[in-house]
Amino acid sequence: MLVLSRGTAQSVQISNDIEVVVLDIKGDTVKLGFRAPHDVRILRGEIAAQVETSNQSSATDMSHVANLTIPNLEAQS
Amino acid sequence: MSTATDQQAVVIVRFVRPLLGFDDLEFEMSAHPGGYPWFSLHSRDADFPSFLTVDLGAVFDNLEIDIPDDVVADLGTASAADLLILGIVNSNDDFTVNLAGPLVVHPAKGVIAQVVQDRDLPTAAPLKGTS
Repeated sequence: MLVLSRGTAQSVQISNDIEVVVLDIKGDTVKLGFRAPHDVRILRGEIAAQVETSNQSSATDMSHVANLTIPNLEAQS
Repeated sequence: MSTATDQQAVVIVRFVRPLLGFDDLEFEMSAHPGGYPWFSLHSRDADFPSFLTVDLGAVFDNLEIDIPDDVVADLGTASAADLLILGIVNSNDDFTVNLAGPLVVHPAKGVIAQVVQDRDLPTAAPLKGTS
C-alpha cells in the first residue's frame, strides 16, 4: 500500500485520468473530491463491502431456491 | 415474444457490472414458481450460486434507485419501462431484501448490473408480510 500525506487543496493523481483532491479536513474526517471518467464507479468502501457480504449470505443452490415456500407480500413505502 | 415475467420463460442475462463477491457472469433468470413478483437467478455454470429475487417496484412504493449514465448505456436503454429492478432476497434466515445493491435488468437485451447505491440503504430490509 502506498501511503501519502496530503493537506487541504492538495491532490493525488491516479493514472492519467483520475484525480483525488483533499477539500477539507475537520477533526478525524477528510472531505475528498474526485475527478474521474464517467465509467469509473466511486463508492464508499464500507458500502461495497456490505453489499458483497449480503450477496454471499443470500447465495444458495438451485434446488433451495426452486423449493422455497414464498410468502405473500404487502406493498410498503 | 416471451418475457422474463412469463411463468415459463428463461432469460439468459450477462452481468455488465459485477455481482459483488462472485465471478459468475451469466445467469438464467426466470419467474419463480411462487409467482410474481418473485424471480429466480441461477448461475449458468453451476447449481451455486442461485438467488431468490423480488421486483422492488412491486413491493416498495417510494423506493428510488440511482442508475449512473454509464450503466444505463451498458444496459442499452434509457427507458425505465424496459428495465426490471430486482432486490436479492436472503431466504436463508428471515426473508429480507438488499436495497443497497439492487439488480437492474434489461431482459430484452439479456443484460444485468448490480448497481450499488452510494447512500445509506439497508442490505437486509424486512419484507412486510413475510413473518
